[in-house]
Amino acid sequence: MESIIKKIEAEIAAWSPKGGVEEVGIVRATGDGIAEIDGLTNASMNEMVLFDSTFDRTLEEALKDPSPVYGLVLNLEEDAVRAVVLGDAAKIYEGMLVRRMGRLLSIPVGEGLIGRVVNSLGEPIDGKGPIKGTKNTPIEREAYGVIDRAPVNVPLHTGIKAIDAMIPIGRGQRELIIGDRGTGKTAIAIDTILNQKSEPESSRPICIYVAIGQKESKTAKLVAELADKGAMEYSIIVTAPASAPAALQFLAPFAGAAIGEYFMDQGRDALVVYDDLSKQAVAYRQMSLLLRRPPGREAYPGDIFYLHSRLLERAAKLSKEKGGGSLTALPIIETQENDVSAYIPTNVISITDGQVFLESSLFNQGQRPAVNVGISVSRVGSSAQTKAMKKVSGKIKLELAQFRELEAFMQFSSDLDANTKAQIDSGRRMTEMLKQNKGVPLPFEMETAVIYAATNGYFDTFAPEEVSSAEQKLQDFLLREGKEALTAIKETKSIADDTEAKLKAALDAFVARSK
Amino acid sequence: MITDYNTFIVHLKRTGRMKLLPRVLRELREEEARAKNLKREKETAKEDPSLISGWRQIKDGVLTDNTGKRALIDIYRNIIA
Repeated sequence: MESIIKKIEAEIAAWSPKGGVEEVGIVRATGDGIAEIDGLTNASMNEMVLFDSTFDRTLEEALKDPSPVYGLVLNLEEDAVRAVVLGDAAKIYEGMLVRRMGRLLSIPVGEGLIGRVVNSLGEPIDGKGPIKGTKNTPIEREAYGVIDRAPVNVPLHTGIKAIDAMIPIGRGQRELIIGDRGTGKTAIAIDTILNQKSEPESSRPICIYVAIGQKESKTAKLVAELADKGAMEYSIIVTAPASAPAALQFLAPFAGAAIGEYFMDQGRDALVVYDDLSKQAVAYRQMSLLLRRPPGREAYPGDIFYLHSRLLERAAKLSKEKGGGSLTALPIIETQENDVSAYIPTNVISITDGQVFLESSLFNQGQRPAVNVGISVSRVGSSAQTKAMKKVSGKIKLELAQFRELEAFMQFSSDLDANTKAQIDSGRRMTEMLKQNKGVPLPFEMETAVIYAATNGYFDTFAPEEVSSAEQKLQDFLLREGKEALTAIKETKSIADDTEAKLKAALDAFVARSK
Repeated sequence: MITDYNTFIVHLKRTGRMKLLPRVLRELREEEARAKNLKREKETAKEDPSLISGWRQIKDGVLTDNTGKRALIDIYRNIIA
């Protein structure tokens, strides 16, 4: 009680009148989360405004609901401004006083956010109390320029064999995850976050997962999964659920980027997952139409490309002079009927540095992750691949491409020559080896060892359908008896001759015991 | 804003646009109402006890608020933040 009285006394002592400096406007009309405001002639784009319900009410009424409703100015017109309401639009009424806040939309960023779940405005929604140790930063910021950037050359391991071997992702890269609903897009992003636990703490990226327009139950499940596996220690969740106003869904990725940039500016690595940008585009379309901006293709506004390009351009690998930090972006796009040539998918494909394409037919065939290696690509990641992974994965893509060509002949297998049969079997083994359950990302050294075994014929003694179980046994075996080789790969990130000899010896022993 | 109404009506007649006059008037009324909204006479606590103390005024879209009510709300918000 005493502390409350002291706080009140301190606030009264600190209060000073600041009348005469506030520019105000009046709500002319409101509806669908948009307010049309008279006045505010000096307001600027993206400036925050405060809808003040206390002005017309008595003190008693005002204190009953003192929580302010904020708005974001998005249209500057000849005789009015239009703002989107960032909160309960039902509280806005005609004639309501609107105050300029004189600052761009900002959110709190900092160490205090780690392990927390926040909304698009950075407000905690996990019931763990206020967030401490943060500073405010604008949600929109110009991306770093050419001079401030360095080439992407440090890998970001996803722990997924198919991706790390064939579509490697580097720190600072923007790699799109694209596919129909239910093909495992979120699973890849979550596995990537989980896999960062195996990274040394000093180089472990801070992971930011931005959930846009998702069911709250799905986000709650995801948070529980991350917490269960100890990944919330280095993760932050930004959520704008399906029930949130379109404005908050549109802002959520920018909030995630601002949080990630804070860590990048500290010289650290950060990873941000935007799940998903199709829903953000839909939210932006809704807002734009309500703001009466002219509709373009599929009724999206003319600046829908700029919306995504300015967001994704904020992912970067900074130069040493700028601290050497990085922000890797994994945007997710949901396609309809595997159509990657639709408007939003093609936009985001052209912006990003590659894409992981997940195909529903592969998913239904039991290929998990359902990565279509043929049209998945990483444009900058290969230079970030470790020597070890480069050495073992060089042949996989070619071998799989050859396998796909021969696959059509599989139904006539009785008429095929021995050489073609062997090639088909080898491709099937490789495909089986690349299968991986969700939630079990592999450490980089284990991935390397398993791929080495597959590309060097150590699984040839097994029938293709036995490869999955043989691989599991091999992993257990290596953890018991191949530790030396695994440690050497982990530490040196390469496979030197002596390490290769140790690995070969362990693999020979495994094959001999499996016979 | 129209400053010389006579010249304005002559202009409408000459250009054959007299039909626009009701719309122009409606627009002028709306503009006047908007301007009125953004200009409020000085209110004092004597006239309106809900202000508790002091005075406030909106002039040309700028609010000067020296009321006790505003001060108490600001303090309350800071305490509960």
